[in-house]
Amino acid sequence: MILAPLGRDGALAEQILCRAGIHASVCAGVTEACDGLGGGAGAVLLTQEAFSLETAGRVVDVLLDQPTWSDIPVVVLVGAGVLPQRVPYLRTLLDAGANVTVLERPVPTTTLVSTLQAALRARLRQYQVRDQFDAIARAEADERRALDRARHLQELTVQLGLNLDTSVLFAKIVDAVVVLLDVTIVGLYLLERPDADFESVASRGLAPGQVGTRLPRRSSLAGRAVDQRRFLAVNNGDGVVLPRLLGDSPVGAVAVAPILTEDHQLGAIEVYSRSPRDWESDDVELLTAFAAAVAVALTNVRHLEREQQEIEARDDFLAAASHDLKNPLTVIRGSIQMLERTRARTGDLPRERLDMSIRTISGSAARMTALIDELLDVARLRMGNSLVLEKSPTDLVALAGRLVAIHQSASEKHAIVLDASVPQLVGVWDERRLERVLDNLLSNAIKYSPGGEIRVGVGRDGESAVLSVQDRGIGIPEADLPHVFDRFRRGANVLGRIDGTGIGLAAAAQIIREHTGSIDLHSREGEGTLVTVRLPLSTDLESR
Amino acid sequence: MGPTNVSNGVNESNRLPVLVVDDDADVRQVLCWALEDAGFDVLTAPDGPTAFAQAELRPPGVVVLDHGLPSTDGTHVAVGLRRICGEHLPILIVTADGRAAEKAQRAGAYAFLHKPFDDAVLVAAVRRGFATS
Repeated sequence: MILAPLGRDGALAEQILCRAGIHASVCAGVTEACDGLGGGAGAVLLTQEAFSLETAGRVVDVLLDQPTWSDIPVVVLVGAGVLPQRVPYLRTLLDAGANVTVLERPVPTTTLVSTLQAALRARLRQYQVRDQFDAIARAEADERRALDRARHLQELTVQLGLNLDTSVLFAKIVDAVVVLLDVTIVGLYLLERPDADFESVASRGLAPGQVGTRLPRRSSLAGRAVDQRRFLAVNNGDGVVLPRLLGDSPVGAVAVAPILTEDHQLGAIEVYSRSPRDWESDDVELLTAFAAAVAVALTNVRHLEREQQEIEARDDFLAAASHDLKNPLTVIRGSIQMLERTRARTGDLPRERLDMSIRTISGSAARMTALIDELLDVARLRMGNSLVLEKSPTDLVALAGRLVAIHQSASEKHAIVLDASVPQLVGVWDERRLERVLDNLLSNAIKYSPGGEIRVGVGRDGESAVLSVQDRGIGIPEADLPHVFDRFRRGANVLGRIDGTGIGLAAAAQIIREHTGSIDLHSREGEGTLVTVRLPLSTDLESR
Repeated sequence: MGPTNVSNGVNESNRLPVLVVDDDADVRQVLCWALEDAGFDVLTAPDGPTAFAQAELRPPGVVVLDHGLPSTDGTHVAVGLRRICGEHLPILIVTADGRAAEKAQRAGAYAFLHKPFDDAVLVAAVRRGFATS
C-alpha cells in the first residue's frame, strides 16, 4: 500500500490503516510514489485529487503502463462536491478504464478501511494471476532450454562419434561440456584399469600442467561417483581431492559424472565452479547423458585402437616369423653348399665336415618344424579353435633338463640352473607343447636379462606339478603386467629394443590352460620376472 | 687401417680377419665355413660386447653383421666397431627381414645380403669390402 502525497491527511490515514492491520507507507513526493509503483513496491495507491497537472501526468503514465496481469487499484479522496470527471487526470484514468475508486470527503474511517481492504483483495488476485503467468513462462523457457540442450547434446554426441584420434576426442569432450553446461572449468579423467588412479587427459580452466597428473582412485569424488555409478556433487571440496584451478583459486563446487558402460569403468567428467552452487536437475541429467555418449565414443575409439595395434602386431609377428624361419634356412643352404664345395675341391667329403653338416641341417630342420607347429597353433587359436593336445606320460624333470642344456649351450652369459626337488615327475601331458612352453619361458628369460642366473624349478605340490622360471632381468613395467598374456603384447620397456614376436606368452598360456593348468607371472621392473606353471598330475590319457 | 691384400683364397698370415657377428651359432658356423674355404681368416662373435672385445684384440678388415642381434641393435654395434677400428671400417649387413636396405643405410654399410644367401655371393661381397678399405 502506498500513500501518495496526501498532505496532512497522509499521517492520519497511515494511522487509521495501521490500526486496521494494513501496512502503509507515506511517500515524500510524487516521484517516490511513481518509482515505488513502477517497481512493484505498493499493492494499492491511495491518493487525492489535488495534484498539479504535471505531477498527475506522471501518476497516469505509471498506471496506464502496467503489465497485462496488473491493474493497480487506485483510491482517490476528493473534496466534497468535486466531480471526478472534472478532474483531468481522473477523467483520463476513468476513460482508460483504470481501476479507480473515488471517495468523497469526509470519508468515514470504516468506509476507508473497507474500500482499501476490497482493493487489496483485488490486488491479491492479480498477484495470483501474475504467479501463474510466471510459472507458465518459466515452464516454456525450461522446455525451450531443455529442447535446445537435447539438440545440442545430440549434435555433440554425433561429433564425438566422428573422432578416431584419442587426443582430439578428449579435447572435444571437454569443449562440449563447457558449451553444454555453460561452465568454464572442466576436467576429463580416465581409468586405464578399474583399480588404477585416474589420469587427467584433457581439461579447460585448470592450472597448466594438469594433464597427465593423477586423481586417486579411492579418495577422490570421481572414484566415489564411479563406484556408486551416479552423478555426485559437493560444495567447498569437503573431504575430496581436487585439482588446482587456474590462478590457484579454491574450488567452490564440483560435480562429477562417471563414464561407464555396462561392465566397464572408463573414467569421469568433473565440472567445477569457483563459488558454491547447487546443480539443477537438468544439469545433472545433461551431464549424465553426455557421459553415457562419451562412454560409447571412448569404447569405439579404444576398440579401433586395439584392432590397429593387433594388425600392426600381426605384421610384426609375421615379419619376425619369417625372420626366424630364414635363419635355419640359411644354415641348411650354407651346410649343403659347404659339402658341395668340399667335394668339388677334394673329390671327397671328410667325415668331420659331414657329421657337422648333418647335425646343423637336422637341428635347423627341427627348429623350422617347431616354428611351423607354433605358427599353426597360433593360427588355430586366432580362429578361436582349441588345440588338440597329444598327451602321453611325460617326465617334466627330464624335459626341463633337456631344454636347460640346449639353452645353456647357446648362452655363455647366463648360468641356467635346474632346481628339481624330485628325481622324476611324470604326468600325462602334451610333451611337444610343454617343451615349447618352457622354450618360450627360457627364451624370454635369456632375452630380457643381460646375464646372470636363470633358475628353472621343478617340483610337486599336492596333485600339481609346478614348473617355474626365474630371471634377474629387466622385468616388466607394472602397467604392462595385466596384458602379459595378451596376444602380440610386449612390454613398453622393450618395444623397439629387443626383437620378438610377442606371441610366446599368449601361446604358452593357452597351452597350459588346455592342460587345465595355470600360469602366473610376477615381475618387478629392474628386478626380474618369475613365471610359475602348475599342471595337474592326473593319469587321464585321453586327448582333448 | 693399412692397405689389405686379399686375392682369390690365398692365405696370407699378415692379413686382417673377417669378423662375423651373428647371434645364431649355426649361422656363424656356415658363414665361417664359406669364408674360411675362400681363404679368409674368420673371427666370430654372438653379440655386440663380444664383437667389441674381438675388434680390440685384432682389428677386422671387414665385418659381416647380422642386424637383428638380441639386446644390442645392429646399428649400435656398427657405431661401436667404428669407434674402435676407424670410421672407414667396411660393414656388410646380413639380415632376415625385409628392411635390409634401410638397416644397411642406418649402419653405414657398404652392402647388404638377405638370408638365406648363396655362399659365392657372400664371398664376393666380402672381397668387395676388402677392396674398398
